[in-house]
Amino acid sequence: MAGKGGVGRSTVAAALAERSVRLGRRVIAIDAVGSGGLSTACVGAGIDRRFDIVTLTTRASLDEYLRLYLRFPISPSRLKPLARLFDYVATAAPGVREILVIGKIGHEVRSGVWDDVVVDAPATGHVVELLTAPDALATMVPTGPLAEQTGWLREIVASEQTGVVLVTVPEDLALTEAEELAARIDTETTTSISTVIVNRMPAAVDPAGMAIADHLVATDSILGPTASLVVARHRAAAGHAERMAALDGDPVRVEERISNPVGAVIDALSAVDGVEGRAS
Amino acid sequence: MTGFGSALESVDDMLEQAEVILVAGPGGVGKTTVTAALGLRAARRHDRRVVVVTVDPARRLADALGVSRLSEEPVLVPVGGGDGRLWVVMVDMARSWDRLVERHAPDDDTRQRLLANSLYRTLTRRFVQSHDYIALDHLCDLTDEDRYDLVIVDTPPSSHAIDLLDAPSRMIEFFRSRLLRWLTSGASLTAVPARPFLALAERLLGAGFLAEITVFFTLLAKLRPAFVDRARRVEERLSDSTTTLAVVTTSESGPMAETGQLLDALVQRRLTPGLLVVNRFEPTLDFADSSELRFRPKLGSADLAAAGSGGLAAGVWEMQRRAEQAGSGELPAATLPVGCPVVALPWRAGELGDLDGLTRLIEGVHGSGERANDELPSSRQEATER
Repeated sequence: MAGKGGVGRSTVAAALAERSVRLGRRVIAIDAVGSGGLSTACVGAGIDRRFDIVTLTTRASLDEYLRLYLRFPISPSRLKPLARLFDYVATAAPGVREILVIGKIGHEVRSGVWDDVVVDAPATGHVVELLTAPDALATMVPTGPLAEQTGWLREIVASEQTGVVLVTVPEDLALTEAEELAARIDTETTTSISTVIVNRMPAAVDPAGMAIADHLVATDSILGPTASLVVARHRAAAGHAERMAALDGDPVRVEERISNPVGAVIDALSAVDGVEGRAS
Repeated sequence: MTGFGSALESVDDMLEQAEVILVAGPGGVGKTTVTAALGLRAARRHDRRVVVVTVDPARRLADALGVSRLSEEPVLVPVGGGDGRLWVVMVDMARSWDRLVERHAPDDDTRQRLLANSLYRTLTRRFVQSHDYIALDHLCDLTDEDRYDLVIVDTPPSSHAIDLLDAPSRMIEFFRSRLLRWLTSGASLTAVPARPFLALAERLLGAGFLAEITVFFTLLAKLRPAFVDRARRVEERLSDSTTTLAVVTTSESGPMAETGQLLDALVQRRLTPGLLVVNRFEPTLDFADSSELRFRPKLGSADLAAAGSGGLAAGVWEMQRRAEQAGSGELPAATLPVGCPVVALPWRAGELGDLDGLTRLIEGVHGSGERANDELPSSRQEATER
């Protein structure tokens, strides 16, 4: 899941994972942001979660990486001065975190345990850094066990079974970022966009509704400001229809449903096929 | 930053008095837009010479400000008549690192070797991530110049405000650490305490790459005195009484939860933000109490019936559910301790669009800012009354 901050990437990730479970598939969800947003999305949605979530904080990623790839016997957190260096390097030095995270994702995909690996990716351009991390690693580290991993990691990233789900909302700035991100994913990465999801489509207001709204405003009803905002949001979203279509032939439009945003995505997806890739 | 927040009673106080404003908040709440609107208001209404620093490359914002592009060089925004001026700077992370190296390298040789080092180039170019420290370094440069009265920094989208405040001390700590000395001194690398590290590093990276890392850190270590000095100055600038923090959020549960964590962390450090902005405030919501950010739904079910039964009604009900969720005491973040002025910016579906759009947002600041202050005393006023 990729997209601007606040458009509902975690919500869509939770919905995709939940839908996979309902289809009888074995699924794991990875919170690559490491902030716990994916768990929060599930709690907020009130769904009875039936899939595992791995939350990749920087420290957890490092320990996992050393354990999985290098069979390193000691957790670096136990070597005190070193732990501080690793903390510094992994939180402040650019690139380290991306490599650790893509390594974990690759490991889960290759394990063969899962039918679907759903990744809640970091906001906006950071997803490009994540997808190109194996290339960067190959440039920086020519030999050694790290270098050996870059080959198959790059294959997974470029695989047809891996796809980016681009999430946006029908608002000007979010669409602009989605357009820019789509262009960057096309030109800078080997992964393709499999689906575009326009989240939180406001309720469509028909002419009768607009007349009621006008009346409420004219009569100074307490409902006036709300009604005119609802109409204005519908108009703004409708005005973006062409830009949405240009992003993808037929993006999945998800109605705004504040009480159950995850359910809204699942319902919208149920009408469409071909969303789930092996890693998305 | 200590204590400055509680001395401010309105957004205009802040725009009039502050010399540095850091704008922080969760992603997707309209932080960059609010930053631009604050800058515009300070220039237009308070006649200040303002520079806004952003790391968000949103082209739309450049369009809205009426400039063709944003760049590292301050771009003058046409704000109209009056003595106020507004510039916008967009931080280019890779170029900023190069400039830091150019400035802090003790000699030409170190400078050129570091800039040409493949590890350095890969790190700063392939992962042009929002680095907290870089944004603050720009801040320091800009406050050194006499051209500006007020610097407003739109903090990197992915960073947490607390990390941002800690960035200079983390930089100092890194440059002073024994580990940097280990890495850069050939002799101590073979010393007993370094052996587990070497074993790990060789296994992880291969011996050749380890050698390159050592060269990189050796070069970097030569920049230590200048870097530490610089980071200290950034730290001083942050703790100056004319520096303040503006926190932006929306009334939705996710952003509110994140903002709650941020405010708690600030309280632990005895810091009070100078302003809290609730962006996209819905007409269905009201402040129950702004000193503890508490909302209440404004409408009852009888009011809602007037929307009929079509799409309009569905939309209005959706808004009402939003209001109920924001006002629900069950949500952990529905009540936040604030202790600073709170302003609500009304939700405008048309969005910013152009300078006029931003100006309308400013008028929003005006309206709700005053209302918040009239109806709902800030914590300082409350404290005085008590």
